[in-house]
Amino acid sequence: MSNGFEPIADDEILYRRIPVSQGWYDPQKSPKPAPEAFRPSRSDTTGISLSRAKHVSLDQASKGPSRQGYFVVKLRTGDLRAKGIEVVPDGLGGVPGHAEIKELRYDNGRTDQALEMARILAEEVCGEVLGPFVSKAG
Amino acid sequence: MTALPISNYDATCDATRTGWVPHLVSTSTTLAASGTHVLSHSEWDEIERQLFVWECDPRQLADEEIPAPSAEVIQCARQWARFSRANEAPAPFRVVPNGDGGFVFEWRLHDGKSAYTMEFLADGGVEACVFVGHKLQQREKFR
Repeated sequence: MSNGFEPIADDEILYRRIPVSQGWYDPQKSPKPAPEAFRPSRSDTTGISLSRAKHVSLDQASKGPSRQGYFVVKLRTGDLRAKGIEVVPDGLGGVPGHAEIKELRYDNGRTDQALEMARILAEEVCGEVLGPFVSKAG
Repeated sequence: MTALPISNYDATCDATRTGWVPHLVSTSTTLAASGTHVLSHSEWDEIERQLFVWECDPRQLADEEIPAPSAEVIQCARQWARFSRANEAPAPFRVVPNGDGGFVFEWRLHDGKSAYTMEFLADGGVEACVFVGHKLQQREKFR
């Protein structure tokens, strides 16, 4: 049953939302975002967040509290797994269509492995970057 | 990859004793000699301008759960940028917040695979890394 909590297939597209305010994506410099866009923040206690395009629209994935808006990075699940990065759906009681990379958490975000993983995500498996999406409501 | 000659980093951010810059200068000299690199003043101008803007209003970088860098961290980054430029280090490929109250300076070599980063942390620490592709080859923390 497809309810947003089922296992993520290799051909599924994932969205990663990155705030415009941090300057982590500058198409004039590079078609790829900075690795810092994939580093865990203080709220990423269980893993960095992604949205499953199968269950979350691009419009929904691009929304957030930042007034400056967001870019949205597309990633393919199979590409992450081919690089040894596992992504799993949110657990029971979580948000449908929400996924996490549990190996990237705030408590281990400065390990060698985490720094390398962020660089893989930004440089090697990152797909198209869309946006910026700015909410009119601010 | 040669070892980073980083030593004696001063806790008060005295960039004159930062061994990282001589390493970058050496790299820059090598690149310039091979005709593959030009010291870009306009790029350094832009970086210094951006750091100045952030120092004037660090709140620009506070967002969601991302804390703004402290004035001390920004000042340290600016000092180091000025010293690096004065020592003819090439302008970094980018300078961005690290998402946790600090900054990352990143240089890319013209081999297209190697990257150097210098990260100014919110706790006042400084860390340098060398990547080849995504692989972390070297990592040194000043304090």
